[in-house]
Amino acid sequence: MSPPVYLVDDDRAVRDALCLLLSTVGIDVRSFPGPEEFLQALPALEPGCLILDIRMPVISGLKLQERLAGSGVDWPTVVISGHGDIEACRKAFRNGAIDFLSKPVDEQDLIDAIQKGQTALGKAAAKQAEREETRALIAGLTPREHEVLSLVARGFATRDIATALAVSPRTVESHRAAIGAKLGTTSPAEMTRLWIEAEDTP
Amino acid sequence: MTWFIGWAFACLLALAAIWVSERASRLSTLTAESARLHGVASQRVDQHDAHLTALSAIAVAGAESRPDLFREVAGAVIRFYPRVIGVLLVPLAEDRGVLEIGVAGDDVAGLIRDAARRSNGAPVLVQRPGDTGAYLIVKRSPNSDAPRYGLALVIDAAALLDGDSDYWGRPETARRLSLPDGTPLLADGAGLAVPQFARALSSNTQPLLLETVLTLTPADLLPPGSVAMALALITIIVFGLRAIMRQRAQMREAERRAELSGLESRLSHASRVNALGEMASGMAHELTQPLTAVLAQAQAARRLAMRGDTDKLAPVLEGVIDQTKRASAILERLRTWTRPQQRRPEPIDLRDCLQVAKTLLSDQARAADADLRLNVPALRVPVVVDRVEVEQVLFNLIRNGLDAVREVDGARLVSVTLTVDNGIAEVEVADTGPGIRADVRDRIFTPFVTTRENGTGLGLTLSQRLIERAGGDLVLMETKGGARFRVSLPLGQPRQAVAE
Repeated sequence: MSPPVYLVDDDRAVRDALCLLLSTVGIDVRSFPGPEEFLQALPALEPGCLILDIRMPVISGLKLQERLAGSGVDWPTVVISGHGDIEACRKAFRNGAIDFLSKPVDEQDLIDAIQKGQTALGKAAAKQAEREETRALIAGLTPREHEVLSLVARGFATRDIATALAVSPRTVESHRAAIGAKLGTTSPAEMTRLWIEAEDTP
Repeated sequence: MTWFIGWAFACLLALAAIWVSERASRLSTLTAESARLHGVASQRVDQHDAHLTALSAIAVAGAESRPDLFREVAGAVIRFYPRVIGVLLVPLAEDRGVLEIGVAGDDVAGLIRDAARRSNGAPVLVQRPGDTGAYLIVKRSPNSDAPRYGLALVIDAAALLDGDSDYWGRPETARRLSLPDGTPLLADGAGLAVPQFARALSSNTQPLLLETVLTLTPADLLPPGSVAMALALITIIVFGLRAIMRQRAQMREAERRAELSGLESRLSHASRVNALGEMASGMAHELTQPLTAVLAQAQAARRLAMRGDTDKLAPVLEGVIDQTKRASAILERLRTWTRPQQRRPEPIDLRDCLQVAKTLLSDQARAADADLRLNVPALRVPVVVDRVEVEQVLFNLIRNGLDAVREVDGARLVSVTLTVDNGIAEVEVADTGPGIRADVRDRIFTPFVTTRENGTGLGLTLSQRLIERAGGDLVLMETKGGARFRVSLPLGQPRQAVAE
């Protein structure tokens, strides 16, 4: 199942027509008549690709983009505009838009842009899943093993670790073996990568 | 004010100049008249010497034997020289009679004898006792160390100075004549303390002192005629200068205005050109929306058709038709704008227009969470206008009001009030929004002036144009909070529409 598409446009006819078009292509699309409505619904939404009309009363598409970026929502965004306004276009890209389309929007352009967005979203999701997995593996270690792993990741040899922890090298070796079994690798480099990935979380 | 001060200053200067010149001229006249008088008087006193000499000769020759001859000559002198009012021949021997012609001599005989005895040859001058205005010239006769007579002429000082000129009759002039010893003989006035002219008569025997003075009053120094003329002249000059300056200022102002109006016309041309571009841009944006919908719907329909999903086609095509109609309505509005002569005034009830506008905007009012209130009279409000245009204007105004209250924290109210007063229907659209900013208040009806981020700035311009074309007026009212627009339209009946 590909991620959903959220369409924000104040013109009902445009909204309905684009929804219809995207649904005939098999895209899961949900529309909002304005930025406020979208922001209200946002907490309950799963990540998806955004299509924003640039010219809307009260809060323009560009402002909504800024507001989303400010609140940490980095979903791929496609900006559509009735004007071929270069300044607005530049601003949209600076705000992180993945594409800028002029109305009337051709289906192929729109679908391509959405796919690009969904791909980006998929990659991000996969990366996130992998990170979750790593984090779960690391979480399976005992406190002592966790301590040993942190020293391994910093490049210390078994003997140094034994000295630091005031245990025999043999004990350290057995901890390393247990860590290797749990993480599915005996390579110190791989262990380090997993450790960094698990630590590198927001 | 400056002009008045200048005028007053010039007047003062002129008065001072008149004063000085008048004074100088009067004084020079006085000097001239005094010199003439001096000349005449000097000449006259010289004649006295001649008379004395002649009379003395006759007296010596035979006054005793021929008193009639002496009397005759003396009488002739008195007759021809009115200032000589008497001749006295007093024998120094006191037992002899006094020969008196013109005046009585008894009272002065002693005086004359004394003077003659005192005389060293030159005549002696004495004031006439009992008559301060006359003096006696006493001479011994014969004029030797053994005189027998004292000969005296009695001179009237006033007659001595009498002349043909009436100058000395003027009240401001005064003369004084006194004997060399200072005894005054004649004084015209009291104000002779400081004489402006003082000279002794040119006579060896009678150097009488002639003094004159001119008493000048402000009225003399500032003759009303000259003053009036000078003031009139100055006033005319000042006013003339002022008029010239004003005219020049006006000319400069006119030049400046001409320059400005040139700028203005260039500006208005530029804004017209700009208006077309702006309108085209606005139209393009409005047309973009239905076109976007049509394109998306058509492409969706193609997919449905290719898929054989024909059941779903009809509503999609319905949408295509709707949006195409929307696009053509936008174009129709463009035509209304560009061809204003095509409006069709018809008799309508203004209340209906308001109702239509309210109905059209009720969704937007709900979306803005605003209260849209309509107050209309119970009776029909007939106006003859193009219904669509007026509806468009009212729609615009109310929508602006709703936009304005959208982000207001307090009461969100847009009230529309229709009243009829004196043949005029008035619609007031008031909102509780933030109001019109002071910097755009005056220009709110100017094209492209807008307070909305994405406004074209043409809505109010167009609205005002439409209402003015309908014979009415659209103005922004002064309010404390929020904005308040008033549309005035003349009430009308169908027949008036034809006349219009």
